[in-house]
Amino acid sequence: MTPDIAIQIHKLSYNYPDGQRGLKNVDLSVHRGESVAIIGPNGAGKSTLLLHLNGILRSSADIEVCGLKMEDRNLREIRKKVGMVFQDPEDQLFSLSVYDDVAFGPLNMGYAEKEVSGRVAVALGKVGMNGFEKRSSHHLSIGEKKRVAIATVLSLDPELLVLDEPTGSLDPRGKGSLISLLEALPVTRIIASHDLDLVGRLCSRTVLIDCGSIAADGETGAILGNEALLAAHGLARN
Amino acid sequence: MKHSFIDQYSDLNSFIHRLDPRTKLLACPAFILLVVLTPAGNWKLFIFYLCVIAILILVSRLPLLYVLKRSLIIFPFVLMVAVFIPFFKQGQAVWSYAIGVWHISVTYEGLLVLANVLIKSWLSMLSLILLSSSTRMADLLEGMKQLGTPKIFILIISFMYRYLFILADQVIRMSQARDSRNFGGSRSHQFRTLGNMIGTLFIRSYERGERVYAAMLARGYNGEMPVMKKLNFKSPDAYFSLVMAVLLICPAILWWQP
Repeated sequence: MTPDIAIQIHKLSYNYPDGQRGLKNVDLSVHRGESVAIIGPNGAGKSTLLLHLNGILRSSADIEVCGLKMEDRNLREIRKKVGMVFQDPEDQLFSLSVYDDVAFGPLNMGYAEKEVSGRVAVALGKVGMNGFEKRSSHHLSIGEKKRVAIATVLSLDPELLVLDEPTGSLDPRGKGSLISLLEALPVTRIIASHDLDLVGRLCSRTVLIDCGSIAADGETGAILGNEALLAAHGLARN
Repeated sequence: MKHSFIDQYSDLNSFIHRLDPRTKLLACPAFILLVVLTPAGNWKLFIFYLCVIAILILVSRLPLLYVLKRSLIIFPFVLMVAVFIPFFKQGQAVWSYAIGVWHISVTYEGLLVLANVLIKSWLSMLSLILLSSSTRMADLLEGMKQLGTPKIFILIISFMYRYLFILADQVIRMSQARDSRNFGGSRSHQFRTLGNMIGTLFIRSYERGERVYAAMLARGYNGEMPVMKKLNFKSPDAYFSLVMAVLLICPAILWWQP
């Protein structure tokens, strides 16, 4: 495996506990520095695929993340390298204050207190949320929640940023500012979304998933330009 | 939707608000303990305690009406338990009435016990309201943690506090959706709908629990909640503790008569 490969997945299949098909024979490799969109209709398996990237869901397939095999003893290291931002910020922000949430990851990694508060300040600065440390996340707007949710993983200095529907339920302005925020973050990105605007602006490569397997994988322009393909998978704009 | 119905006034700025949560966490049970231990009928002491708590509430700048309204919550519970005491306690009858073969009488001793229970629970309630409305939930939990409360309790309370609002939002949204579809019909239909709503709420909460846990795992959670020390005692804490101790102990010694 070459060092510039961030993610290598070989023949990943996954069925939900209730027997429903989740993923079937998914092969995917992502290079460092690449920005990959995973698009597909609702229920295609996008979120399920993402949850495999840091071992929340496990299966017998070979998965390598940042040069580490997906094994129990590597989980901690992998979760440090993979910053996963969940779809609903209410799930991600479970602490009583913004500070506690952003500090949660670094504290789990056992960093000293000074280092932790430094990391929190830097992470909140990157998403433009300095000064919100003491606020309770319940009283933030949805756009602010999304930003804080991103900060909670940036505080771990991830090598890979994984975002599930980052622009879901945001208004156009909130969406615009979130996209420029993500553009400015220099990490490898994997973004699951069916927001084709966002995909077009942020990602050079697009992977289309439907019914648990990869239907297309290529340059974003080519895939988003292929109306017939999008229509066949329920993604056409009109 | 925004609401903070538990620690609504905890962001005010007053002497009481600025105290270390641990000081308050210790002073409040001490006050309650003393009030509860005070012998029945010692009105002088009760009035004194009321003055103490009233002054503290005034200093804390909490709206008086809000405190009074909140403190009334306790009465239905106390009354339900204690209302029959005057009828059963043996002693000098104040009032009696005969229904057929039964003689109902209210005794002086019984009324004394009832009044005693009411005033003690009201004073305790006032001090608890003062504690919970003058301390932010996060600080309160931090204080409890440092006073040795098991971490798992702290964790449970903090999650409860965090997700209570979301749950309340969900209930409000579900009832709005229900009412928008002309909710009505027979009583049994209404109950069935209510049952479905409760079930849905349970499943949603359960699934949210799973997602929150996944989000925790994703940031390296390993079953151990990370601790951070942010509290420190300041000199006002020492003054407050000293004054409270003198205020509570001296009158108790002077006026304690069983």
